[in-house]
Amino acid sequence: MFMSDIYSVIAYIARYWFVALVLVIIWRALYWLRRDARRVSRALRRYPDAGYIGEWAVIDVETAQPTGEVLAAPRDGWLGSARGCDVCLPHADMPAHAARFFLRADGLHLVPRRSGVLMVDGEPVRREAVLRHGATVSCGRAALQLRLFAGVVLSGEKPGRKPRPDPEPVLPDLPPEVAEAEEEGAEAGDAPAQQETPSSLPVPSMTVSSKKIRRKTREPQTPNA
Amino acid sequence: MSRKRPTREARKQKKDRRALRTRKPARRRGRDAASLTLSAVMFFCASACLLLALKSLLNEGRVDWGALALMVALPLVCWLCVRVVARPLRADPMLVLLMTFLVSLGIVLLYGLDPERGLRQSVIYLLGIAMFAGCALSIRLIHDWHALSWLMIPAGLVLLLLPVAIGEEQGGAKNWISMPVIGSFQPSELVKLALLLTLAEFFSSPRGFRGMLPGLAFSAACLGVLMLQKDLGTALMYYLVTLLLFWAASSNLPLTLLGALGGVGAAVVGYRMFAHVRTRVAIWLNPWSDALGKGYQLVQALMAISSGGLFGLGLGMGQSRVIPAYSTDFIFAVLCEQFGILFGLCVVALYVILVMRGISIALRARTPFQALLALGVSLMIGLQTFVIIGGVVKLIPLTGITMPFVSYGGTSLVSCMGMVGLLCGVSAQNEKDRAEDERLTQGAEEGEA
Amino acid sequence: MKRLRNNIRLLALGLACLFVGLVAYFSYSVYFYGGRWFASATNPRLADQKQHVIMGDLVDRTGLVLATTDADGQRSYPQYSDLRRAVSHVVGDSGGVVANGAETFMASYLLGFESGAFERLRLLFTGEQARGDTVRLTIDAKLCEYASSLLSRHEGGAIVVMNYRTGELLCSTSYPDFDPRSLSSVLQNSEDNGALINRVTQGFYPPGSTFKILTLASALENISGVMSRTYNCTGALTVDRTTVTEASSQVHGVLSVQEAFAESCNTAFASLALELGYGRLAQTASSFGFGDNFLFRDLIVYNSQYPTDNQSLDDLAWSGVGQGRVLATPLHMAMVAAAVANDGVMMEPRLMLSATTAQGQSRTLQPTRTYRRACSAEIASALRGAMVACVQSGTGRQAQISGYTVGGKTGSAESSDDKEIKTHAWFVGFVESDEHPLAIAVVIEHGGSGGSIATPIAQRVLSRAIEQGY
Repeated sequence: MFMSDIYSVIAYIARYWFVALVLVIIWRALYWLRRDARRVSRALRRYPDAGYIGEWAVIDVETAQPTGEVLAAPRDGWLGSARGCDVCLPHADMPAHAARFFLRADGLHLVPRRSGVLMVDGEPVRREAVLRHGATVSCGRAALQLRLFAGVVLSGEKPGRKPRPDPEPVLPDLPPEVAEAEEEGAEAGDAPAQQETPSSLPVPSMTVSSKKIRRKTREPQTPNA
Repeated sequence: MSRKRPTREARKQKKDRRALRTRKPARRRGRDAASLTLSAVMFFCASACLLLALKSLLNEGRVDWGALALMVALPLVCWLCVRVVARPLRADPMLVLLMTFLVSLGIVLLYGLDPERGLRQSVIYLLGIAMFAGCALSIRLIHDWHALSWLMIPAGLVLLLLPVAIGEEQGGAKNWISMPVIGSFQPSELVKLALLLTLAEFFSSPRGFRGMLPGLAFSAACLGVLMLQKDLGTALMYYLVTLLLFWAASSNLPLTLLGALGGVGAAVVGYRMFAHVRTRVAIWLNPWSDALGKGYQLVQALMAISSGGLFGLGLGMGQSRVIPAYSTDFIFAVLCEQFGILFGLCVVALYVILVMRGISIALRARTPFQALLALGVSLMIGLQTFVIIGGVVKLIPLTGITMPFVSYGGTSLVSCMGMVGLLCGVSAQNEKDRAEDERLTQGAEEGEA
Repeated sequence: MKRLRNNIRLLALGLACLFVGLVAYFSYSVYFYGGRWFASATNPRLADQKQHVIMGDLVDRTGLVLATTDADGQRSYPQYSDLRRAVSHVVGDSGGVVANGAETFMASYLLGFESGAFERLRLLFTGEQARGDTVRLTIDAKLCEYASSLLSRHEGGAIVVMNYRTGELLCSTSYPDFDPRSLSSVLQNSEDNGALINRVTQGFYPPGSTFKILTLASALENISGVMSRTYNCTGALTVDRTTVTEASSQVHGVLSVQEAFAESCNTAFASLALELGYGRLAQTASSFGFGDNFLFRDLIVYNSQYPTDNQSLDDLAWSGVGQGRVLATPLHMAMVAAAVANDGVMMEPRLMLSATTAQGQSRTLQPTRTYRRACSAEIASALRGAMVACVQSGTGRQAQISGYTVGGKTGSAESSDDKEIKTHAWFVGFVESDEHPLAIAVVIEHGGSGGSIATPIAQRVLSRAIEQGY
């Protein structure tokens, strides 16, 4: 009886000790959470480009030259005109969620939602396309060119530290600036500077209304880089 | 006296030198942050086991070698986990610490209640550490989970079906198998890991909804088998995690709501069909209506919690054994009785910190697979804790699941530690990716310059 | 990935809310209900503790020992059986058979659960056996004995006297009672099991005309100028499908509202209830505590009921005179009278006056506090005037005490449609005095008329209480 009373008193006093210990553990855990968050945000501030593999340059389809506008290129995400997309190009021709892209060793894989809608380097994408530096993705009159950072080394490339040269974007044939649905082959109309296009190109399946063309021509033409 | 007192100049020089000393490198800083917590956890284990040894010495007059062994072994294992196991895996030291603290707490409580169970739990602890290391390594080593996921689907279903074939019924649910060496084994806990990996893989598929179908089918099949075995608690966890992961991956609100409605419909059907579901709900509403019969469990748990008061009755005191299922479902009531309600709330806070850390790991993940995996683990642990503590506290009806890390149950402990291993694997991968990114952009800056 | 991350953040927020809800609910339920869960008869820790700790004494307000542990470790009760029986429900028994007796409900003090670390250490060094605290109750055992003697001539009933400024219960006695020394024989004799119920806190009776206090309060609040109205009582009021009649078929003629209250005119108050409507009368009832979940710290009181679902006009008319589905405990009606006397402030009833350790140190207890504000001070004052009029010139004439202003309301509550069964006799009232702030409720089961049966009992109990200086 006496002995068990000793133990009950010891246990009674020890309970405060245990509560103190667990409070210390909680305090340290919270401190560590906060410190970790601060470390990550500091790293983000120091290297704001961390996590991105390059940039997407917006291409003006008429001149086939970059407009100067660039979008950051993450490793993984959605490409489209919706605001929730990781690469968001709010163009009328671009569908809301056009394609899913993810980086692999051989390049940036692009998986479109619907086949035949997107064109990569002039060719329509059926199931999946692999993009390397300089590849151009276009959909109607919306076009983007992928430019990777120097450090992103794909298979078959030599690691280099200098930024890569910007190749010319490869765009598909465009219909003339008339609100016509069908247009045959190589009659490229007013679209200037079409380089290295093969003679018979498939006709883009998107119909372009005159209104959209008019809106497009109002955009300022940035001088060539 | 060979040493003179340092002159004022010398002291000033020392102070200047100390001010000039550069900041400690990040690795040292991490070590300091964890070391105080590690000491706290080790002190906790040691003092709790010492107390238990004292109890048997004072009350029964015999030397409790088990408790003394645990007094040495538990802090040692904690230290080893954090310093030796976590370091090469580059696992989050705090995550590992929280896990080891919770497991040690469970072992201490169980040993006080039933020494044999405590010892068995500590042996399984070692197995769990192996599982933890294995899962963490697998995330870092295996990069393409696609083939493995397809393999895990049939394997998981076979495992789940085993108890139906050769298992035995326990407590109304037929989900245990008794194996020769290991003891009783609950395959649905291990299949949880397979489920998380499979769902993460298929839900991150670039092919959209079509790619997610195999994952959904697997989950539906598992749910079917679990309902067959009447393991409604685990089925609930599987269902919730699948639903929430689906919503996170696809953002498809209409389909998710449809799934939620389906779940509610299934719950209503279950209420009407199964009598024991009806009893559980009736007991939840008023346990005192049948305080000595069906409500006995909950009534005893509530009495235990309130008897503890704010600081508890003391380790080894109180009458925890009157609560049915005191070592599995109601371990939280035992915790509140012996350590106090304040301690119980702190343990809930620790679980929340664990889950929030998992969420932040998910947010920093590089690929959708890793993000969904980390999210799945956090959801599984968080929801399981909420459901079991909610049941004990009479917030929601009781379900037959256990408290992660703390409850007695070999497979449950191993699978929870495996889940934390997956989380640590993703976190290690995040660190590696971030270091690579910084190197990349540093290279880009230098290249441009 | 951006969408995925946003979804993850939303899920994290959801999880955080879940856990916050869990912690909040846990804290709330333990704070309010924890004491009751602990002090339950089925808690094995109490029985276990009794083997280590000598259970402390229960004493009444004056120091008279009501329960103590003798040298053999058995629980012993006062010598005189009348005294024992009078306080039997309040004191309870150590086995927890009597629900919510003080021996079980205050076990945390009596069994030494409240002792701190230093006390236990000290006991360790001196080697004494631990003793629980001595709990001093607010009741006066002699007053209870006197009240019980007045009840024992009847079939059953309850008397409760409380101090309306502090909420302390001075007398709480219920009949039929039992002898705690021979509890086992009581249990075996199944007919007597009604004896174990504490009718003061757990007995439900329709309040009858005593509910008119609340009807009048509601009228004062919602109908302006009601006190200047007159009413013509014709002895019957036809409502939808029923007729409200007077007790013993009286016809009162033309009355003012105050006279109607004093004479307890059913038709007048039924018509007032109809005028007020469901919503307003129900609101007044709830502001006086009907439908509340009583979570008092010292004792368990069952919740009084006022029907809030869609009442028919018949129901409403009868509710206005305290019949129909209205049920109240005697303690609650005493609290109503106390609130009226205390300027509309209802105090929480207290049963524990102090707890003293075996070494003589007193434990800090939570102070008295108001339970709720039942009505405004002006309405309370008007109600007081009406209740005083009832005692001075109305049905409560037999409650007058010379030298003091007594206010009250009688009631004869029908308990069944069978006219052969007598009504419950009620009296609730107060003494309007600062030196003797007493409120009382008396119920005599099937006693007959409130004015002639319950009121004289109340007068005697109040006089005795005043004599004893409360």
